[in-house]
Amino acid sequence: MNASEGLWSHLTGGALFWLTLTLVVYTIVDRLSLLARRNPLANPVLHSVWVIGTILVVSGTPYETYFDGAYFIHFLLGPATVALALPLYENRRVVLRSLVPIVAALAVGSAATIGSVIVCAAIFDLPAMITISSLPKSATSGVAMGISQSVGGDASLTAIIVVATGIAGAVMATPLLNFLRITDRRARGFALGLAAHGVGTARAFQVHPLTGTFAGVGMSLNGLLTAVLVPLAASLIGG
Amino acid sequence: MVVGLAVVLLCQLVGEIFAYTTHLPVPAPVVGLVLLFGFFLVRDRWEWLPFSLRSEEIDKTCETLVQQMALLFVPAGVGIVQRLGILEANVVGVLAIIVVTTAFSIAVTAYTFRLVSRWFPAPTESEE
Repeated sequence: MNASEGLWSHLTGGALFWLTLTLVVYTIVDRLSLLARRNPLANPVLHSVWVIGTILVVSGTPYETYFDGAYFIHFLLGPATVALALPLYENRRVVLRSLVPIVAALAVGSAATIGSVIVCAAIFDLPAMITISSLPKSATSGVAMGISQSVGGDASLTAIIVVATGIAGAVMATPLLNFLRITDRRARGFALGLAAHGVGTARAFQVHPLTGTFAGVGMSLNGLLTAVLVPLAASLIGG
Repeated sequence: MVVGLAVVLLCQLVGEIFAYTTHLPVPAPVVGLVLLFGFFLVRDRWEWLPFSLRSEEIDKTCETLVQQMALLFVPAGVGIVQRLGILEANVVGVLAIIVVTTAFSIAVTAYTFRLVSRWFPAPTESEE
């Protein structure tokens, strides 16, 4: 083995390299997304995931090795959910004035999401493990993984489906909501946060602070309701 | 930064204790969010809190975390390399779940919000 190969395997076996790579790739991709004027297709999460995923596959690095480094970032998902208290607090009056539509849209949206997953899984005859792991797909990663585990799902699979859902929601929200002629920023934000959690919320904050705040509200309330509804849905389809 | 992170983590920790001891199906970070909201309410009303708890740092930490939230999903998303087999075997169904149910979810939620807010219009609305 020559010196450069030795150095490569030394670096790629440790946490420092993968943590740095994640931050560098994200920074570049986020910069490009800004240059693309935040076009929804230039979603920073989407492009970071495939770039880093390709590097892992090509270099033959196990995900566990990568995650040892990336865990420092992953851990902050919980604190970031807690931190949504700030935009919520700053906009509490606007949110309070919209309390009735919020509660109604939450109940209908959350149930419709879980119901549509069950219907979709039945149509495509998906294995039970995928169905169960997809039930909390609209809740934010940290929350959804916990829910999935508690109902016998595969938490890693849930994480992937959750992030993919977030990306899909963030990419399609603007054209879809324009097509549906929904102009109210509160409705747009709330729907995006409920359906596409933190990735959708990040997208909503790119568009407008009010949209972002309502996305944050939708995301946190749906995290709560999904935790209640998924065990019920799982026992229905399981038993 | 330090005091901000300490307060945020403390809220999450108490949330964890709450979820564990009550066995309620509430996610710890969501309980933490409610606690931090309560903290902000208290902070802006009561002057007697120690200075470090009234500092702007807490707001700045929260702002940073919220602004950079998208980055935090990257490690979990990269996990796809681990499950390529099962996903490939069910690619159409999984894509349908990811795309169709998400579109449905956005549409239903936004329509419900709009419909109900027409029945219960907000007192003073600035639509901008």
